[in-house]
Amino acid sequence: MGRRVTLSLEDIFKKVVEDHRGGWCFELNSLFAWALEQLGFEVQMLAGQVGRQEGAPVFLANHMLLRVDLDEPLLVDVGFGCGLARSIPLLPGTQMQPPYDVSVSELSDGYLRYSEHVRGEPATYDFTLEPVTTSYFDDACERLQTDPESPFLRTLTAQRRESHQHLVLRGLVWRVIGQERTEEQVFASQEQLLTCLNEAYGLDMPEIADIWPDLLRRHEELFGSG
Amino acid sequence: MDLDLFLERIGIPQGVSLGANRTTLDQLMVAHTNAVTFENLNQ
Repeated sequence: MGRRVTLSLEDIFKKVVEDHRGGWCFELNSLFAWALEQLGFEVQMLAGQVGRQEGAPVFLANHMLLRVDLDEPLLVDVGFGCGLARSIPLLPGTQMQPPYDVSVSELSDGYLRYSEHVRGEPATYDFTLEPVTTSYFDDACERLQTDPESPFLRTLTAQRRESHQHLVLRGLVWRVIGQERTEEQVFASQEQLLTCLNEAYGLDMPEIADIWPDLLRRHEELFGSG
Repeated sequence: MDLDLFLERIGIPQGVSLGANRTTLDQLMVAHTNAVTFENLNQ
């Protein structure tokens, strides 16, 4: 729909808190870091790369995550699709956070990898412990909103947790991911999509109807018209 | 920016004791992932 998001905390606060919208990693983790600091936590921003293959070139800027130091260093991330529900140690290890197994591992090329897995391929990102500031993400924030190949331009998404389920909308496909199974529905009408956004995510966005033809076209590119 | 408004947005009731500790951190994360949608609906 062509509206731009920024890394300004004031803009993010207005969007998320006052307008009851959501956001992506740069927005949600920036705002969460601010809130934690207000409460007295020591927070560092870290940079990551989503979906990197081990040993592949590194572009550590398409994901923002947080480090919080308490009695041990912790990985904190409320901006990776809401898969991670609680903090996990920044050390190699795995935890059950239903529906996912979430883990941190050390790769042979020296990077750390966060992974969440329930069935099929895990969702991952790689990162280092080098702290960065918000401005580190300026270029990535711009590029991910303008590059025609950006996944954020190519595929609409909305994701939220509900207890032990993960509610994932990608394009016209809505999945409710549970520990035992995944339920899937493909929306056939604008009304179904708008109802889902409203009822599952609390988002009242009738303007989404304007991009319905684009969503249909993208769905057919990926899955065919059948 | 008002922290109380943020806490209200993620469903933390007023009066809940919050400190810089693991319990509070995880309480805030659980609340946030339930209340705030990861979305790119601007695009």
